Amino acid sequence: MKSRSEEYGEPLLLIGLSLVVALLTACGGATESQAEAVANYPRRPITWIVAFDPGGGSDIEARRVQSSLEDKLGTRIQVQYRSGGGGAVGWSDLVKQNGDGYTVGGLVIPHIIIQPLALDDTGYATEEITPVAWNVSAPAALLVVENGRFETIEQFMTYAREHPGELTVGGVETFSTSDLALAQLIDSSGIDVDYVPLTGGAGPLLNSLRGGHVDAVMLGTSHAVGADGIAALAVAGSERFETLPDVPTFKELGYEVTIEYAWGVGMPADTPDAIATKFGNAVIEVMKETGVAEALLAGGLSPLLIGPDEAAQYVARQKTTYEALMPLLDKLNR
Amino acid sequence: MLEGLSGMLAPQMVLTLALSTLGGAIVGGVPGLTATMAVALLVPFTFALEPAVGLVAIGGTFVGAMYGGAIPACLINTPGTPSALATTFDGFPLTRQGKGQHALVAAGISSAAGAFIGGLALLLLSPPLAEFSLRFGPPEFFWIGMFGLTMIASLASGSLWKGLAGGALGMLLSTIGIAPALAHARFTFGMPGLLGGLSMVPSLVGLFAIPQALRLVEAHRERPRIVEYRESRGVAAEVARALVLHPMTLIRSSAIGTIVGILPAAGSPIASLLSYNEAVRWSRHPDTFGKGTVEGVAAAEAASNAAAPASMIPLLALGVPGSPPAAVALGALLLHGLRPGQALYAEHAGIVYTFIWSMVLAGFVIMAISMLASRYLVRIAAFPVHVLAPLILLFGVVGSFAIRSNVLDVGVMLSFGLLGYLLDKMAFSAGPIVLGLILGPIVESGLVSSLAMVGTGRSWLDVFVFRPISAALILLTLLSVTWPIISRRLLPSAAPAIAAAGEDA
Repeated sequence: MKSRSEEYGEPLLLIGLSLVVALLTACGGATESQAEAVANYPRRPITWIVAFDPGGGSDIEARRVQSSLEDKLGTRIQVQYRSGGGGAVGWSDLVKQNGDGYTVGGLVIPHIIIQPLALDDTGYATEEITPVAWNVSAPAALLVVENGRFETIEQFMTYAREHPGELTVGGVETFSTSDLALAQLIDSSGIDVDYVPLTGGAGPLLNSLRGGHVDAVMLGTSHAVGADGIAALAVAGSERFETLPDVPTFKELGYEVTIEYAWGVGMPADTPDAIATKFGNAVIEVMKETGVAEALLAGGLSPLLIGPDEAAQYVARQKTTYEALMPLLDKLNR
Repeated sequence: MLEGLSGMLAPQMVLTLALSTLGGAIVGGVPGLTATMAVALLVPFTFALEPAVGLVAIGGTFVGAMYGGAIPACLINTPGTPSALATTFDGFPLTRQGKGQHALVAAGISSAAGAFIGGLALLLLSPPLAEFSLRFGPPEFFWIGMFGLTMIASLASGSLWKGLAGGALGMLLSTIGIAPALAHARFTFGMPGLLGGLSMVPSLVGLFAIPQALRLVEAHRERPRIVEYRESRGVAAEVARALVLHPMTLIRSSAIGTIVGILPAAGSPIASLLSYNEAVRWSRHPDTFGKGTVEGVAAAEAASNAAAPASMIPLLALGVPGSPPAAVALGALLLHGLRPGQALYAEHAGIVYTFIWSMVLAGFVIMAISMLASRYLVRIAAFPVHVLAPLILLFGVVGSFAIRSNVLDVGVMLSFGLLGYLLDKMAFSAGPIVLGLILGPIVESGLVSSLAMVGTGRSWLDVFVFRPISAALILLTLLSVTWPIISRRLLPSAAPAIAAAGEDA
């Protein structure tokens, strides 16, 4: 017959040993996984949130890099659509995710900067997103009907000066590339044109142009290249667009218009730098593969090779520009 | 053109078409899963396929889903896709009378007819129809929306005031989210998930499926099944005869579907509602509608299926998708490096025409499916309620979540479910609410953009009235509102005529 202490002794010893082992494993496991997580990234599939509907620009940009990225990173990338609020729903979801690198979001400029500036509560702040790469861009462009009233930008500007308030320029809703670029044009030229916000996206906008419901639209070069019956009068930026060599820049005529669309990828702000950098660099590498640049240019887009180290500064520069334009935008959109 | 047809008739293509149409019908047949979702799911697969095959798959899926939505609409009074809303009006009453197979076959035949006619328009009339669609600017969309709102009167079974109240409620709810073209958010209560407004599918599922399931449960002691299964013979012939003898319904409905389909943002739900409305208006026995007539099902389905290929007209001719699945098709085209427009027809005529023919011929697949499967599908209505009701709820929840992987959508669905149930108890019908939800954004964005067009040298009369199409729409709207009064004066009411074929012996 065992004594009390002996009876309880064995089970207690077992429990005690187990606890110690468990503690050691937990501690060891914890510190291990932190550093290892970064080194082993990515270890499982990555979710890519597209903040718009399937078939749109953001979807296309995700698909453009998807399979090459999967090869480079060695893991699957699953696209998920979370549309609504012009992207706000998807981005506010993004910032709520764990910053572990396994959820990324397709980003669009100017949206992610201008939305929090224009709206009271978008559900996210620009700073809550860490951009890791900006890989595609398209400068703003003033578009008109081909062989219509205006064949050159000079004609357009002259008419606008001689008939203040008469011309209408359509654009994508309000607080978008359209009115930002128009605001810059108005600011630097002093013309008086009416801005007509149109809904439904670029497609219906171009139709409104073709149907004569507005005199011009402010969109991007991607809408000018290959669109039937549409011609670009001028483009933003400091150099002519490669696949639109005959279209002057606004700058050549003395007007300061720099607004451009940009597409990129981002992660929640608390993502470890090493992981963000790894993903961002992979994206930029994909953009350098053969054929990618050609495909982009053919579609009126430009490759942008802004990697993780410069991505945030790019955002900051745009933000400064937009903030300066806000008062004019309010007036335009009265 | 003919090269495309022969391309379409290649065995690989026929198989692709058949499978994708069937797949589309299945996805459309589950309430909560939409045509857009079905097509979007396909896109990754289309990368691996040749462009022509991928496009055929998209076309087949789209048309199939438009038909598939009619199945639960008829059997359990829940539209499987938003486009099948109008199909419930007569489809479900038919099922209750034990004529579910009639409803399904009618849906099949009219879907096939609609797809065929819409497809022919796509094939032969694209340029003029695309040109026509360009004349619609913001003012025209505003008036289309207003015209659509007059349909509330005919959708409100019972009190007109309740119908108007429902429509107003729907429009109010549609304002949730960021205002169209203006940068402020309304009624979001600080929830970012509401910035995009209420999603259509969860709202629809909530307003129809939940109250229906609850109604079934409430009545399950007296009515353990929606209807007892009854073997029926010769249904197909009977229905076919009825529809062919009154061809105007199919022709008019398909025409309405085609026209509405070429306008972006209008789409299949509006097309089928409008077509149903007109079918009631022009019928010799308008009282039979809503109580179970094959004509009612036909009017709704022909229109929604014609709108599907029609929405590809602006896509192929102008590069502007006329519907969400068309937008997905656009994405698929762009990813293959094909830009829609004149160039596409010139350089890749084979691919384009194969795609077009696939939508024309998808109707035949639908006819086949409906003929073969209707007698089995109709047994779903004979399932015991204690199986059916939970299934409806399950699919409703899953479908609502699946759209945007957003739990909020499930919340929206459940809220609408509660709302729908309460309104049902107060004899409000859900149709006007949905109409308000769909048309609210169309009316508002049309109004906002049109107001911005008013300016120097463009008075508001110039913008809103002195435009040919707007003027025509204004006239239509006024007529629509005053028609009940006029028709009573002009056409003396005859004795209630013989009921539609569905009730013939």
